[in-house]
Amino acid sequence: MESMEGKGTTDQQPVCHCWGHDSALVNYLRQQIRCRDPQIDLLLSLFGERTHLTPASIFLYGHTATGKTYMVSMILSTLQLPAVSVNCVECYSSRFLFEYILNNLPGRDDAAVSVTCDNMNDFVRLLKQGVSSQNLQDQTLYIVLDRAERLREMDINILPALLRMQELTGLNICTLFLSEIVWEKFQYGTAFCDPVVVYMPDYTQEELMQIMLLDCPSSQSEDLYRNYVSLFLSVFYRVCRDLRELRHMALLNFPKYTEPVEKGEASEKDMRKLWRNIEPHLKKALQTVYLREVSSAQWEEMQRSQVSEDEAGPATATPFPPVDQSRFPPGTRAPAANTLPLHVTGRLLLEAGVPRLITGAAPTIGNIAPGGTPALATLPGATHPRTPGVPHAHATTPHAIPADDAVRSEELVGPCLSASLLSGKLDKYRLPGTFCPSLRLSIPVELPYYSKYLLVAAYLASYNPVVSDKRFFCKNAGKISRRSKLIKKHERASNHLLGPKPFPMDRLLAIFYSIIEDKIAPSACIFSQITSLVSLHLLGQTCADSQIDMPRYKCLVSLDFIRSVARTIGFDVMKYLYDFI
Amino acid sequence: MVKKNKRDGSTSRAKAEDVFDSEDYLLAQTITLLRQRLSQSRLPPCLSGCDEERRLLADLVQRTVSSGESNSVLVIGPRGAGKSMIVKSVLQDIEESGKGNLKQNAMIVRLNGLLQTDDRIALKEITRQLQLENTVGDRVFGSFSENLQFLLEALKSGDQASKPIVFVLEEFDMFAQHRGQTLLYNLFDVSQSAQSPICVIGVTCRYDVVELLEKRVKSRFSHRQIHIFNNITFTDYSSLCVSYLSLDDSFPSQQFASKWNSHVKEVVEGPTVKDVLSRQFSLSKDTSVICGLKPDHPNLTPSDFVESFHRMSTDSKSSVLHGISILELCLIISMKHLTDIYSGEPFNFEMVYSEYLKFAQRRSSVQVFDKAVVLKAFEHLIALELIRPMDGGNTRVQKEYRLMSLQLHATQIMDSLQKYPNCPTDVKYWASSSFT
Repeated sequence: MESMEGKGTTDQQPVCHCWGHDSALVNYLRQQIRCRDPQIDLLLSLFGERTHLTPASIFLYGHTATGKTYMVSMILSTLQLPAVSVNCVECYSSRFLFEYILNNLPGRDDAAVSVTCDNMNDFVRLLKQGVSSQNLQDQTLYIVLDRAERLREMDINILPALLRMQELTGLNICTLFLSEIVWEKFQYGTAFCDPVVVYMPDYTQEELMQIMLLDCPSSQSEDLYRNYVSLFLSVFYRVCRDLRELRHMALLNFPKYTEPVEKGEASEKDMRKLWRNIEPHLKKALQTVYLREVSSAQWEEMQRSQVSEDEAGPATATPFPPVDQSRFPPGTRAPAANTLPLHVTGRLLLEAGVPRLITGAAPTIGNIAPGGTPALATLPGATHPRTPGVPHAHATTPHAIPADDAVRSEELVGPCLSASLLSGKLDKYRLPGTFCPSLRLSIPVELPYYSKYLLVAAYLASYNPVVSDKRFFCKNAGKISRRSKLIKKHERASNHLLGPKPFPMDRLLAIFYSIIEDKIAPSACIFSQITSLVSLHLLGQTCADSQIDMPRYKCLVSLDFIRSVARTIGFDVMKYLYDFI
Repeated sequence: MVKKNKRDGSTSRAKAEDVFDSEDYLLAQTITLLRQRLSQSRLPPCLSGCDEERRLLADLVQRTVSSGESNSVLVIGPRGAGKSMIVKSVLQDIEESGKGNLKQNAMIVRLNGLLQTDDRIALKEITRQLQLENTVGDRVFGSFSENLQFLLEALKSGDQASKPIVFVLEEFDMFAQHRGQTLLYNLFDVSQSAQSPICVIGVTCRYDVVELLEKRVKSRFSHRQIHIFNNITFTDYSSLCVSYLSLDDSFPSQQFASKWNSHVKEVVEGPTVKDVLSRQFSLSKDTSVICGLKPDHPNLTPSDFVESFHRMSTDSKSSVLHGISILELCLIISMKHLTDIYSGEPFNFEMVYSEYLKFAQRRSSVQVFDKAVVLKAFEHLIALELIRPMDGGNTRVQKEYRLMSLQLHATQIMDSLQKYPNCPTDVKYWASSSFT
C-alpha cells in the first residue's frame, strides 16, 4: 500500500492520485474517455482502493450520449474491479434482475448451474453466498444498473433495497445507478437513503468537436474533416446536442461535402465553395434530425436521385402536391422506369372503390396483407386495388425503398395506407401524430369518393362546436347575434389547439348529407365506409364496441391533410371551419 | 471518502515526511478507518444524546432476556435520527455485559421490511435465523400461526426450558402492508400471552404507523413507543462532525492521531467550513447527511467542504436544462409562458407549437423548425420528465393533444437561462417578457 501511495506522489502527471491502481492504467483511462477528467477523478476517489469501503450507492445522471455507461464500464473493466452490469431494460422484472446479477457475479463459472431467485430476501442471501464463494469479501463489488429509471416500475421495495445493499448484506457493495432522469424523480415512499449524486455535464461545442474528429475517415485529411465538422456543428448544434445523432448525421453528409474535391471542382482549402455546396444539403438534413424516417441507405439514395433530378429539371418541392391527377406530372418526380399510368389506375380505383368496399374490407384484406409491404415496395405498379394510396405513394416519393429494409419501408409506406396498415395488424392505435411527420415525405391518400366526403364531415364534426352546426348547414341560418360573434372571437382557433372532439354517428351523417350534393340513400355502403375509415385510422372510435347503436368517433387527421382531401372533391373546407371564419 | 487532490495530499504528506517514515502508511490507515466509519457499517465513535431513550429500550430488552417477560415496542423517529443505531448499540451492550450472555440466553431475529416482502418469506427467514430448518423439514402446516407456534415449541423442546427471542423489525411500516398482517398479529399475540418470552422491537420512521395496524393487531400491541428526535443544535452537529473525522485512541500512532485530530478540528472550526456546515444544517438535521457530505472528502481543506456541499446542493433540474438544445429550450420557454398565461392550466403540444411559431416567425434570426422535428424535441422533454402527462398515459388521445404539465419552476428556467452557453439574446429576452 505504501509503495502504491508513493507512486501517486512521484508521478508528476496531471493524475492526482491513483488509489492503488497502476497509474499507467489510469492515464490510459483518461486518454480513452475524452473530456471527462473531473468525473473520472471523482468516481475514482469515491471508489477508493480495491479494499476500501465505498459509499453504498452512487447515482450518475446526465443527458443521452454523455458517456455515462461508457465511462463506468471503462473504469471497471480497465482497472479490473469486480463488477456486474445490468441493463434495466433487459431485466424488466425483479426476478430477471436478481437472477442476472447472481448468475453473472465476477469469477463465476459459466458452466455452473444457474441460480433461481425471485425475491429480495433470497437475493441478499444468495449474494452473500456467491460473494464468499468467489472470495470477494474484501474487495468492493460494484453493481451497475443502467437505465435505472426502469427500476421505478418494479416492486416498491426494489429500489430502496438496492440503494442500501451495503447495509442489508453487510458486504462491501457499491450500487451505481445510471439514468437520464434527475434523482428527485426517483423518490417516493419512506424507505430511501440518498445516494451520492454525480452529474455528467453535457459536452460543450469544442468538446463535441474534439470527439467527432475521432471519426475522421482514414481516406480524408484531418484538416478537411475538421473544417467540415466545425461547419456542421455551426448548423446542427442548436437543434441537437446528442453526440450519437450528430456523429451519425455528420458521417452521412460528409461524402457530399467532399464531392467537389473529388470531382476536382474545388480544392480542400476552398472553404467558401465547399460551404456553398453543402449548405442546402445540411439544411435539408436539419429537417430530418432525430426523425430517421429514412434509413441511411435511403438517405444516400435520395441524395443521388436528387442529383439526377436536378439535372433533369427543377423539381416542384411543395410538401403537399395536389392530388388532382391531371396536375400530377408522372415523369418528373417518379423514378421513370417504375411509373405506370398512375392517373389511370387512380381513377379506376376511385370508381372501383365504392362497390368493392361494401363487401367488408377487413377479412379479405387480411388475407392479402401478410408480407405485402416489401412486395409493395418493390412492385409499385402492381398493387392490389384495395390499397389505393400506395402506387401514388411510391411514385411521388423521390426515393426508392429498398426491398430488404422492410421495417423502414413499412414506416414509410405506413402513413400512405400501406397494406400492413390496412390489414389491421398494427395493434396500436395509430395516431396521425405518428404519421403526420412522414406525410411531409409522402402523399395524399387516395380514397373512394364518398369516403372523402365522410372524412371531411367527420373533420367538421370534430372541430366545430355543436352549436355552430345550425349556422353552417341550415338553409335559414338566421342572423348571427353580436354576442355570439364576440364569444367566438374570444376563443379563436382554440379548437384546433385543443384537438378533435368525439361526435356521435348521427351528427356525422347529418353533416355528410348536407355537404354532399348527390342524393344517396343511407345504405350499407356508407356505413361500411365509416368502418373502413376507422380501420385505416383516419377516424378513431372513442366508445366501447358494445355500444353498437350509437357509436362515437373522432377525426384523427390533420388540417393540412383534410385540406388536400377537400381540394380533390372541390370542397372549401376552410369556409366551414368555425375556427377560421 | 478521502478525496486527496494534489494540494492537500501533498501538504499532509510533506508534514509526514518530517515526522515519520511510515506516514504514508498511517495516512492510508486513516483513510480506511474513516471510510469504514462514514459508510455506516460501524457504530459511530460516540453516541450523542438520546440517553433516556436508550435506557428505556435497554431496560425492556434486559427484562426479556433475563427475566423472560414479553414486550413489544416501537422505535419511531425521522430518517437518520439514529433509531437503528440505538437498537444496535443496545443489543450490543447487552451482549457484552456478561450477565445475560445474549448468545446463550436469547436469540435475535432480524427482519427488514425491504427484504421480507411477504409473510411467507418472513417465516422462512425466521426459521432460518432460528436454525430450525432441519426440525421443520417437509412438515406441512395448516396456518401461519400453527407454523410459528411450532417454531417456538421447537425452541422450547431443546435443552433449555424456553429461550427468549428478540425480534427486530426494521422498516416496520412495510410489514403492516402485508396481507392480513399475519406476522404482526402472531408476534404480538405471542408477546401478549404467556407462551415463550419474546420481545418485538419495531423500527420505523412513520409516526402514524399504529394507525396502519388492523384493530385486532393494534389491540395486542403494548402501545409502548419510543420517539427519537434529532433535536441537536449546531454546536452538537459540528462537534459530531469533528468526532466522525477524528481518530481515536486505538489508532497505532498516537502522535499522528493527535496531529490529525487537531488538524481536523482546526479545519472544521474555520469560517468557510463552518458556513458550509451551518447551511447544510439548516437544510436538514438528518445526521446521515453529513456522512454523505464527507464520504468523498475529509480532504481537510475548507475548499473541499465547499465543493462537496456545492455538489450536494446543486439543483439537478437546472443542470439538466443546461444540456438541452436551443430548440428544446424554446419549447420550455413557451410552456412557461403558457403556464403563466393560463395560471397553471395544462397545455398540449399544439399550444406549445403555436406559441413557439409566434416567437420564431417574428425573429428572422431564429430558425423555424419543422413540426415533426419540434414534436421529437417535445418527446425528448417528456422522456426527461421535465414535462409530465396529466393523464395516466394509456388514454387514447393523440399525442399532440395530450395535456401536459410543466415540472419546472419559472425561477429554475430563468436560472438555467443565465448559465446556458451561447444563449441567443432574443431567446433570453423572450423568456423574460411574457408578451409575444
